[in-house]
Amino acid sequence: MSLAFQPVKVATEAGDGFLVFSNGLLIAVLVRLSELHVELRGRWFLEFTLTQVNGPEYPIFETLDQAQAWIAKHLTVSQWYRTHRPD
Amino acid sequence: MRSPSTAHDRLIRKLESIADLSPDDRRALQDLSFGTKLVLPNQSIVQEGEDPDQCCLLVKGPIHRYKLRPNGSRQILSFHLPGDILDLQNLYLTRSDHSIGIVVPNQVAFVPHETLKTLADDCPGIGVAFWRDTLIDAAILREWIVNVGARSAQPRIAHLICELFTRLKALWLSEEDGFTLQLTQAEIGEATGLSTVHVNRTLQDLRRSNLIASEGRFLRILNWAGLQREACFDPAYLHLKTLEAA
Repeated sequence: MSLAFQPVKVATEAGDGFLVFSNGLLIAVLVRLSELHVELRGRWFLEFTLTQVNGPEYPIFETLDQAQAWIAKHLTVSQWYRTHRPD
Repeated sequence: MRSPSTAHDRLIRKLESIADLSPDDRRALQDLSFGTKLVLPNQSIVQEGEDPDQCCLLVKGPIHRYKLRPNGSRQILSFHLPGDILDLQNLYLTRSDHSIGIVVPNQVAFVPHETLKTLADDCPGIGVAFWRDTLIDAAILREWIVNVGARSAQPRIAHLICELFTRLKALWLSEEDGFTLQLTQAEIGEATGLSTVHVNRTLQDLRRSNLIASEGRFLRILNWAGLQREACFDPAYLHLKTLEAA
């Protein structure tokens, strides 16, 4: 799966985030945590995903590389959707 | 007659907050025999699937009931406060369908099921109080379903704060304008279905709106009417005697 990260400004306290695309499809939003979160400051929070129902489990990553590895493993776009999506 | 301990006082105060007790009922509760024990975090009190033969009376709080998911995450089902008997339903349901857990060291008393059954049989007023307690437990769970299923993050956490404040006040365990919140943000998240990041942000939003203020572990309520409005909080579901009389 090919992932692309597009930087964006987000309406949370730190303001920095990334849209994460898989083969051109938006699958997740990552947000950098601010000093409000004390020891988690600077880490990356998986704020939102589009390939699974959002539940109470929201992983937090130390680096973007770790976020990328986790997303590549867990947020797969179904084969059905890839072949049936309107272009 | 033994002089009543803190545990006896707490239990009587709790039951009197939801039911009418006669002087005989109070005397019978004061004569209740049980031992208290300090339970440390990560020590098991009751695990889902066990068949306990005693009930757990909370002397110092808070404590929570939860269900464990296969991936190790927890859904907290309720918070309990000093004086609560957490698992009265196990008097008649035998097998516990959920677990009881703690985060901070806690003083807990254990009362044998047979003792409580005899007490309820001998003192109908206490039997009614136990009945009301388990029914109110279900009423609180109904409100929590609404909280998790139908309220967004800010009113959801505001509602939990309103509930804890109202219940603590009925037990004379709050200050006039707030209470000591001995819950972690992780516990609040597990009770409300929110991540700790969202809990943290939401508490910050409530502070920015001048509804609450945090002073260490003390949560000061700056605008009680505003907080209740934000939460759409109506305390009727708690069925407290003080509120019913008002």
